[in-house]
Amino acid sequence: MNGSMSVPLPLALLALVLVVIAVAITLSAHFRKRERQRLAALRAEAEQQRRALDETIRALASARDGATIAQQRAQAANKAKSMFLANMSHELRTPLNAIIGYSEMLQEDAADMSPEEIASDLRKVTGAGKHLLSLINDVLDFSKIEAGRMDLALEQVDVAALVRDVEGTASPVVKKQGNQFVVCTEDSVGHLTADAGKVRQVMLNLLSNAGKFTTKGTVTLHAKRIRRNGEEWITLSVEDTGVGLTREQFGRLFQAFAQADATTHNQHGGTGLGLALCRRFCLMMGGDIEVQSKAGSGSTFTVMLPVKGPGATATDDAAGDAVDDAEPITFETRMFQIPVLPLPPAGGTS
Amino acid sequence: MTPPVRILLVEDNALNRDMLSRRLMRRGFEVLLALDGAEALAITESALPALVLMDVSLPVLDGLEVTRRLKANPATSAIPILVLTAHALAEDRDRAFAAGCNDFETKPIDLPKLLEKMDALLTPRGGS
Repeated sequence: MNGSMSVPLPLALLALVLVVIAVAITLSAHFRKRERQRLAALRAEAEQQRRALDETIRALASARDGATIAQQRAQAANKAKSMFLANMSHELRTPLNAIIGYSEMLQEDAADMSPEEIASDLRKVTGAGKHLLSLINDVLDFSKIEAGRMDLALEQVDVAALVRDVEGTASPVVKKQGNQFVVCTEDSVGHLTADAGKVRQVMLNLLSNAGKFTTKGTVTLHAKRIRRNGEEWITLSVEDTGVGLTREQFGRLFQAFAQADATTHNQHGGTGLGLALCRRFCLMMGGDIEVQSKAGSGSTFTVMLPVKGPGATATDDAAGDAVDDAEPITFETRMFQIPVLPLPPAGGTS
Repeated sequence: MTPPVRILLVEDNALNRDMLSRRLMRRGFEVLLALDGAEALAITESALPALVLMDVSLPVLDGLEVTRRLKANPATSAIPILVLTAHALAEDRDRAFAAGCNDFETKPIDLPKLLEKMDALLTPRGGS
């Protein structure tokens, strides 16, 4: 009857309590797990945000560094620009002083002068005028290159004929200070694709430098055809036994107006733009200029131009870009900087 | 008849040296020539000219250094030095005066102006 299946009340209560405890433990474990998961998720999120923040900080630091570098470059460019203008002003005033001075003097004194004396002074005016013109042409060439508007007139150039032409023109300048001028053209030089006018300009510049910086020595022009990195190149080297270059001068060699020092300019003249232009021209033609020198024992400037012309080789740099090719041409003064011209779109020895 | 005023022209550029020396001689000056800074120093010390026309960009010693040395030497410090240069910026002018020059003119030369300045430097000799 009623007592057969009955469980004593205390036992039932105990069971109930145990069940409740079990449920409570289970639930608590469950919630703790949930909590742990939530915390883990939060930690992961926090970590992610920290990484993002780190990334942002890094990006900001890099942007700041970039801005600092850009600012330094802009300041350097601005300084170069001012120096360029100051140098240009000085350069232009010197021949102008002769032109104005001689022509005023002729106006004052012509009546008392013989025709020979007058002609002699007029030749000086002409000479100073031509010097002024060459300065202006150099500046224009420079500005064209900086603005990317310098065009090449590419053609098949007979190297031997070009060397003969350059030899004829440069001979008086090279021999001026008692130097010997030796020209050696290998039979195999043949032709190359280049802008003959620009190659000529480069070679005349290098030879005139060699002549200026060498006294009672020897200037040698050597034309060769060589293979390098599977490409054919024409090398035109100008070797002198002159004053040579110090390490410091070496680094600034191809910068505009960075003549070895102020007295170099005074002794040797030049526009201070010549070498910077030479290098730009060579780069435009797919080549470069290599320099070897030691103070006191002369310098060798070697123009290297690809036989196939610009665009056909690995060193097809646009002029004005820094040369950072891995290997093709070992240019020994990689530290050079392209100067900035003080002209709307856009600061050696000459 | 008064003897010609002896001046020293320091100029490394052959054309400018020839031109200016002739124009000055034509105006009665006796013109000594120096082609570089060392010569300028030596000639000034030995010949004691009444005035020095000093170029700035010079071989060996630049004109400002020569000016400094001449002004530091009691034997030559009273000789007026007129700096004549193609460096035409205000800073160039300041540097020249800082070196001790008495006056400054830029190239291309304005001869009447130069003569006026030379005259002003030569007239009060011993006076001012």
